[in-house]
Amino acid sequence: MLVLSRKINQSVMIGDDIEVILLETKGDTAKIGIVAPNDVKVYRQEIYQAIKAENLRATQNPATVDAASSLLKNVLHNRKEP
Amino acid sequence: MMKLATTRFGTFEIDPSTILHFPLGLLGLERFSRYIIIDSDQTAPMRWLQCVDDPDIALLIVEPGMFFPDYAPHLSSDDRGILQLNGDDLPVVASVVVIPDDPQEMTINLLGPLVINEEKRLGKQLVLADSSYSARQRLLPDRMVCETPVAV
Repeated sequence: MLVLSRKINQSVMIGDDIEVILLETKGDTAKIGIVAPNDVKVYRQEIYQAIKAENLRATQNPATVDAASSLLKNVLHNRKEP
Repeated sequence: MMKLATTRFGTFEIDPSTILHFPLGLLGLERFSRYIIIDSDQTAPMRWLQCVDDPDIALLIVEPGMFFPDYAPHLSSDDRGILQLNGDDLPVVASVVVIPDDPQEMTINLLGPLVINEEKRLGKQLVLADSSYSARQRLLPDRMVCETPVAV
C-alpha cells in the first residue's frame, strides 16, 4: 500500500482524472473530497461490503425456502383482503 | 438449446436466449455474468437466480415493490446505458433475499437492488449509496404484532 502524508487542502491524483483532497481533520476523522469523472463510482467501503456480504450469504442455499415462501404468500394474501 | 448443470436443480436444458447477462457481475461474484431465472410454486413470490457459469451459485430474489410499494431505486444515465434502456423504459427490479434458519427473520437487500432489462436480457446490481435503504431489511412484519385486537 502506498502511504502519503498530506496537509489540509493538499491532494493526491489517481491517474489523470481522479483527485482526492484532504479537507479537514478532527480527532480521528478526516474529511476528504473526491473529484472524479461521472462514470467512476465512489462509495463508502462499508456500503460495498454490506451488499457483497448479502450476495454471498444468499448463495448459501437455505433449507427453509418452502417455509419462507409460505410466509410471504400469507403476507401478500392478507394484504389483498379489505 | 444448451445443457445446464446445477447443484440445486440437477441438469436440464435451457434456451440460451433466456440467459440474463450481468456484464459487471454481482458484488462479490464479479467472475460470473450469466444467470437464468427459475420459477416454481414452491418458492413464489421468490424466484431463483441460478448462475450459468457455476452450478453451485443460486440466489433467491423477489420483486421489492410487492412488499415496499414506494420503493423506486434511481438509475443514473450510465446505469440506463449499461442496461440499454430506451427513453422512459423501466427496468424490472429484483432484490436478493436471505433466509436464515428461522425464516421469520428473512431479509431483503434494498441497498443493492438488481435492475434488469428483460427485452435485452441485461442486468446490473445498483449501489444506492445516497439512500437510507438497508441491505438487511426485514421482509416480514414483526411476529409480535397482532393484527386484530385481542379481547380481554
